[in-house]
Amino acid sequence: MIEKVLADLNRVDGVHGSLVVSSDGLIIAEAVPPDIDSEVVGAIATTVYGSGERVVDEMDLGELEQMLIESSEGKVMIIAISDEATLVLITDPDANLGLIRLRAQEAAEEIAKQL
Amino acid sequence: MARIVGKFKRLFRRGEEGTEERLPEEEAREVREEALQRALQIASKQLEPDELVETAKRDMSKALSELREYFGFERMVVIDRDGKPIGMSGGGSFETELIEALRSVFEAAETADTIIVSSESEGPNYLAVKINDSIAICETKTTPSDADIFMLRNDLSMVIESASLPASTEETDTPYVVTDRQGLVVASSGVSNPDRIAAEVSRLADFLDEHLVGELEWVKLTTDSGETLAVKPYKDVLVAFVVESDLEEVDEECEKVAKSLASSLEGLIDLTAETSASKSKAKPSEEG
Amino acid sequence: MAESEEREGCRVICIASGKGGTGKTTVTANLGTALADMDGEVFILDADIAMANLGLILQMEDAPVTLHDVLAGEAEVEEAVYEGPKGVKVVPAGISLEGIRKANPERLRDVVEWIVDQADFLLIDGPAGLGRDALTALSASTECLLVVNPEIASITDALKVKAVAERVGTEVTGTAVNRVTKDKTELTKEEIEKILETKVLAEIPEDPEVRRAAAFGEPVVVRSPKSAAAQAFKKLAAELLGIEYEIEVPDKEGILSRIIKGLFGKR
Repeated sequence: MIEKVLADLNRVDGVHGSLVVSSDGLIIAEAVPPDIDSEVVGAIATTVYGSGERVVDEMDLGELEQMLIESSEGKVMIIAISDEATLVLITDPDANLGLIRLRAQEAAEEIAKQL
Repeated sequence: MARIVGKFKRLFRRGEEGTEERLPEEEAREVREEALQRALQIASKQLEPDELVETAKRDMSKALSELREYFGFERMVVIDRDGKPIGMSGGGSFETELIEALRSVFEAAETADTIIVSSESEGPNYLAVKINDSIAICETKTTPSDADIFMLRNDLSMVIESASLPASTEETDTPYVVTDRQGLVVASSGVSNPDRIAAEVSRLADFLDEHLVGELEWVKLTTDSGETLAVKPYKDVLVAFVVESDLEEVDEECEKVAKSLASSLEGLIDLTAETSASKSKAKPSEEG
Repeated sequence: MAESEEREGCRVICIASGKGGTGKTTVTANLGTALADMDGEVFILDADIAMANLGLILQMEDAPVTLHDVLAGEAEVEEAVYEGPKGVKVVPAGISLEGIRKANPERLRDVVEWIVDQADFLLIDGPAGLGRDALTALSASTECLLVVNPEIASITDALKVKAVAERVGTEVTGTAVNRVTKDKTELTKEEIEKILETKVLAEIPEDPEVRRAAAFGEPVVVRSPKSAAAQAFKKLAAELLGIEYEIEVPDKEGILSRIIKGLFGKR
């Protein structure tokens, strides 16, 4: 189940919360703490991901798979699940990105099977 | 007798508001001292062409800053024949329309080498000086004199010659685009359409600035081909570049490339400079 | 008598001040006359369109033929040369130097070359300010003599002239400080040298004789050769020639001699 995948993902060190968003910005599944407004996050993530897709397309770099936004307060990772959905993670500012990237990729592949 | 009377007069001059009797000589000396100090200060601010050239070799934007301060310009940009900025000072970019208009005038009036755009009202004045293939555009509060224009042209041509576009002559394998926050390309290499990318990247950064909590530090876009477009904001500009690496190493790789790009772009753009907005709030200390 | 320095060819000196009202015309007229008196052929190219002052001092009528006419092919150079006191030669430009240069840069060069062939000194009396004409005058010269008053505005303007001169490759030979009163608020010679980083070649005192001489239509070096101002001009000329100048003490001791001793003696 998607929620289980998200719950497992949340257990990775540094991950604060995660959700699955449709390409329309609607929440498909979520596992986020109360301080995160999943709808806002979902909407922003969709917009930003679309922007990212345009940029990499402009530069002929291929298909966007992962987008990482780092700020001083935390990080947001957006990973393509399929054409119709993305996985969004919110991490702490000093999270171990290498590991999270791998686990998130695995989770995305897992969720893709379930969608 | 007169002297004694004088002394008594001074003794009894109470009730006058603390006027100390000053010897005219002392006052005169003070006036002269003040004038001398002021004059020496102005003299010390003179530009030495030789020193300017040395500065330009190391750091073009610093040389431009010195020129800008000496002539009292609000801001300044030097663009190449394609309209791409090769150096700037004073923060903020000039409107694209203005730059294009000035370029058109120079193209149309082939032998023209100076354009002055002035305004009787409060508006800014602009001075554009054509030096070989480059154009320097300056925003100024006052109309520059012929001597100013002459000296600016003289010194700028030396600066441009010395600086000789360090960013583009630096052979770096990493394709990159440097854009200001308005989406205007400051520098680029190995990218076929820097303007579009600059526009998209700056829009993205603006959006994130608006919706993100905290300071934006990185945006990394990894594709299925194993390439990552990384965007790193600095005070006045965004630097976007591409790295190729495995997922586990991409963040480390980005840090490395960012550092190396920052040092090769150092002569072109001051990547640590404060913006003109923050500078004008705090009075800048004298540069060493 | 000290040896004069060996000089090859003509020295082309731009008399420049940046600011107006420093007394540049007076300096040029008197310096030119003094130089002519001391040493051979001196030409003054008067680049200031409003020629009246120079003409008045050098006993010149409104010049009917000017450089402009020469360049228009309507006169020979010789016709535009007017002789003043002590044999100083004046060539009025007629219109702006920049106007001449733009119309015919070659011809202007030819005229200057013609003068340079004949002369030991060519003084170019540049217009005040730092407009195109002043720039042209500076770049046409090999040397520049700054004329300043001992007050800050004049000095800082001179700094700009110096900056321009350096960029056109014109050597700043020195400074002449005009209208010195030795008032305690005035900048001293040493202070001016420090600010401008240039030698002060002469301090010319505020002297009523200057005005008196102008009223008679003569340079003060001719009218009152022993006056303080005249002696200062002669000293300036001597400095440029690289020779010693002996102060001529006036026949009457008194205020005048005190001024002179104060200027040239030890302070």
